[in-house]
Amino acid sequence: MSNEIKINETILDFPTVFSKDDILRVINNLPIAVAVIDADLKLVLANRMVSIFVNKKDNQLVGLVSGAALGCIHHEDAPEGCGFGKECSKCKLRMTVNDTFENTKGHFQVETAMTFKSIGRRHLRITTQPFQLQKRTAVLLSIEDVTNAKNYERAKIEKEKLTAVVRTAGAICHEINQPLMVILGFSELLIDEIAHGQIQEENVKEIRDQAQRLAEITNKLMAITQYKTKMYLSSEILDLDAASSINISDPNPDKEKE
Amino acid sequence: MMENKKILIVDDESPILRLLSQVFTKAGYEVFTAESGRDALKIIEENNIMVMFFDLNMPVMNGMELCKSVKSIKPMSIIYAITGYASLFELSECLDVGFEDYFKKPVNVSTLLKTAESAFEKVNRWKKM
Repeated sequence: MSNEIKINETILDFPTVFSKDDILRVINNLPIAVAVIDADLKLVLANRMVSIFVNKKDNQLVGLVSGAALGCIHHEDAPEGCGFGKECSKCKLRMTVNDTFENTKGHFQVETAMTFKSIGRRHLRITTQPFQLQKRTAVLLSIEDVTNAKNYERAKIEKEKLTAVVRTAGAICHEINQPLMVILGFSELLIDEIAHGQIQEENVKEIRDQAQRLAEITNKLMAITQYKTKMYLSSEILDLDAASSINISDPNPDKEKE
Repeated sequence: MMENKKILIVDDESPILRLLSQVFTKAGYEVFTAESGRDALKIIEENNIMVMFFDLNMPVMNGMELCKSVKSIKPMSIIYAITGYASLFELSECLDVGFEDYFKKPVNVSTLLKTAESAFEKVNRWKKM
């Protein structure tokens, strides 16, 4: 048997046995938390990033069931330990690792949230891969802490929602305050006219027309089907006419008939 | 005396112009109205008007731009902004471009009358200096 490498072959195409130190050397320099888990769900190996992530030394991690090793707040819920508590049945980390063992098939970037004793609630992305270690199946688990990215994403969505609310509020103020001012102003004039016994019919009609305009604005608000904005001075407000499925070209259709 | 009591109202909403025109006319002012900035500038050119009320959101030339133009040709004029909606940033900008003060619609007509009265008192004080 020759050890000569043929075309399309690499050194990894030959039977290879990795030692514990070999694996540790490879995973230690990875920028995310990586651990090797055995069939009892115990941590066999953990890289430097796992220690940094849960703020524990290497010897406080290896040999413990994953929840206890990582410091999950639920690992002591039941006297039997990690995996037996009420919350453990919902634990996605446990489910993902178990499934990887059962089906010998990995999972890619499964999202979950976990609360740890040392670092509180974190949003995680879990990836698993089964492999043979000392003739037994083990799982290579990588944990990506995406809490900051999730928080940024949530803050961004909140900001976008707030912007939309402010723009809608702006449109409501702009649309409603115009007729409201006319109604209030002509009402004040009307009170004065009543006192002097000289009521101007046009002013009363204006109050009615503007009240009608208010009703049309609320109808349009109820028929908003899309988010369209327009410039208002240096800011933007919701474009009520474009956003609503109701489009009334003549705000006072009865006015001409009188 | 009437020469001192001219008021210009600029708003693209004709019912608002009709309302304020009646309110100020009843109070003894000579009222000029314009639905656009361009019409307003023409009126200002032809008449000696010192007190004005501008809507902020108008097409083509908005109230801020109009105020800037008027202040460049009539720096002693007293101009108020009336707006249906404006952010705090825009309201502070109002003072920067030369507005004396601003009012948010709906504004009480008696508030506007008091404002006009104190504006003319100010104009008369300046004239005596």
